Amino acid sequence: MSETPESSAPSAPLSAPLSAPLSAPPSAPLISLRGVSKRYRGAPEGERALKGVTLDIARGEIVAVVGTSGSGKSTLLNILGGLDRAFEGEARVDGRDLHALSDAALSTWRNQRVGFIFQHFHLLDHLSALDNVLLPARLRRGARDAGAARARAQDLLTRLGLHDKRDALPTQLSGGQKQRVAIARALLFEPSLLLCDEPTGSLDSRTGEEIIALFKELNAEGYTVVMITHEERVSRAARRVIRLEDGAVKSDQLKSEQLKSDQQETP
Amino acid sequence: MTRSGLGGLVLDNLSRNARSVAMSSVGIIVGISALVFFVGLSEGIKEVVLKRIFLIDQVEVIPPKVGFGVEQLGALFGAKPANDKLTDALTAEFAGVEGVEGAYPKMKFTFPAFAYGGKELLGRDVRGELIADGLEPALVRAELPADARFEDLEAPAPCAGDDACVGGSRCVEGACAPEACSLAKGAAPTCGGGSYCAEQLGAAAEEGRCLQPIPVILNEQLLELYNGGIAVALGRGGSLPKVSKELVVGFGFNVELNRSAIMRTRGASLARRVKVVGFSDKAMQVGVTLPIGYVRRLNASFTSPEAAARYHSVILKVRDQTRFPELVEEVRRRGLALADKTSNAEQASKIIKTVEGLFALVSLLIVGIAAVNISQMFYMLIYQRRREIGLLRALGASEGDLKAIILGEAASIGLLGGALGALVGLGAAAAVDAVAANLPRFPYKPESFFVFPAWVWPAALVAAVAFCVTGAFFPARAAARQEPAEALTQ
Repeated sequence: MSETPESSAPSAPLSAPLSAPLSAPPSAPLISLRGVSKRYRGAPEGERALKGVTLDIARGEIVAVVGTSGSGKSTLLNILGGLDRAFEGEARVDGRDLHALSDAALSTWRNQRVGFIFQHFHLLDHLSALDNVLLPARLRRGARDAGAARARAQDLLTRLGLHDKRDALPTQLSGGQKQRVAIARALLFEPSLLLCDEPTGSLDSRTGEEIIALFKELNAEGYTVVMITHEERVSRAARRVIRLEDGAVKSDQLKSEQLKSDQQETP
Repeated sequence: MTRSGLGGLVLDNLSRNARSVAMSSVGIIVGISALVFFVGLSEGIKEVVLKRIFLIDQVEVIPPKVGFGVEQLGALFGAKPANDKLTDALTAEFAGVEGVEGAYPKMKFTFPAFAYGGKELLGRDVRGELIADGLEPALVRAELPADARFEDLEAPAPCAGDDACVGGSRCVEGACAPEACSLAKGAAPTCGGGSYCAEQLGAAAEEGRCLQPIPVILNEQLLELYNGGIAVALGRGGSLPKVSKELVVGFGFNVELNRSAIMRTRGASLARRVKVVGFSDKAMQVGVTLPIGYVRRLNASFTSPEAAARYHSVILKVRDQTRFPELVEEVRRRGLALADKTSNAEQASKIIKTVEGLFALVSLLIVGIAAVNISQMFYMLIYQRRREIGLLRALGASEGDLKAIILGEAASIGLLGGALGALVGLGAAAAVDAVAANLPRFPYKPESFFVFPAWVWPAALVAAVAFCVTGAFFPARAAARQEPAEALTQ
């Protein structure tokens, strides 16, 4: 991650203690899907976006979920993030059965334990960069330390090289800067899971590389990162690649295995 | 989400959608201003109609009305006159009815009389037939100035010394008695303490006695009638001066009792001075009202002792105005009738309630239409903001939070629209009053046509907020039910 001149000011590490304790023992997988299927409303009876997906993702992994358009990767991300609960099968994330949580409990969990990073950034144009980062704090339930959240948001922007852009509106930022603001927003409460949907899809290759490097850095700091992508350069950054095809897991390989497999295929 | 978080989001959303919010608020402002305006107007009308023209805080009971000639025919066969029912016993009975604060009998003159004088007030003397009645001073005591002695000053009064007697009388053998006086040369003493020597009024007066003027009270309606028409009618091409309550109080004139200005009368007559001591809405509308003691004595003297025992009406002072209809029913159940004024009050009350209801309906209709408009605006905003709603869900907003944000925006629009509407309504009322101030005077013309009860302000705000929140309820529910995953892909 590049440091800006302003970042010489004292700043908290990205893992500053703003998060709630994890509810599952560290040894348990962070994500556990068992026979997850999804059929969209109005789709023909036999047509499913996901077909009995079963997989585990451990804490601290950096995983790329790849596949062609319509393979079910976005559906998988929505289920992992608790944005879509109309599915069959069992999904446990961070020790929680997503089917069993009430809407309020699920919302609280999303607010504090999941960080979303989207292809189109989804920043609110009427808010400054700093206020966009603080948006999850506004939605937080119960007592909150507004001063601490603000300090953390400022630190995050500084660490991400946006110290001088904290008052800028999204319309005044470049694509890479917008994505950094979105990443800062996702990190505000030090989530246990970062879910990234085509995070470099709207960026030029150089900026995309910077963002990928940032994810690797975050993963090195202990964040679990799941990236949905169809870009090879993104999947190369992951240590594990899950390939989806027609809603089913076609392959699930660790990078070292993939390398071996690639070498075997090469004459 | 905390309250401050909610407040911040609501304010952000309102400020960035200021134009849509302003457009939608117009309907609420118009509706609430109409509501405030109409409530003020109907309360103002009530104030004039039910408190000045038709009193609703009292019920006047009269003998049952009979068809033409029936009473006279009955009398030939020895039937008692209808007002035989109105006795002291019935008065006492009514005083015990629930919701009645007191029952006060009224008695009219049963003999002719005329009044003359007025030069000091009107610039020339006028003369006219006098209609008068009497009532219990206790009924009006609270309405009159503290120094107004509206009481029977000629009633036998025990005394221990001269100080206990009214001016012009002296304590003689434990009772107040008028002092002697004469206008003849060297025959003083002059009458003191506001009394006059009866000889001043000529042969019909009780010669040789000092007397206090008879205190009378007037109804404000008489003043309205005089200023609104009689002054011109008696002006002989010009107009007699218009007078105010302040000018009339203290004004004295003479009366000749048992004599008519328009017909021949026989028998003894009596001349007296009278003095206006105040105004009351319980006084006779066209005539003067005396303490009932005078009327009893004069009726007994000029008509018969029986005439002094029959009341012409009984006023029931209503403690609880909401019991007005029950009280009216009670009167009818006892075979008695209501004076026209009370019947009119009942009718007026019904008409005003109907008009009030219509005003409220029109206002609520306007606010209702505004609420539909608000609803449409929120549907539109939600459609425009669906990705944002998806994002808020992803960042931790629950369905309840989204509803709270949208309903909070609606409530804020309602609060703002309600406050502005109330101000606009108040301004419109002030404008109407300003225009009306330039209109010529007419009977019962009030200073302001509007009366704004204290409850109207919170009610305006509550109504505006309630309609806005109701209007936004379904859009808020639709926003909350939006699938976040779907919303994010829009």
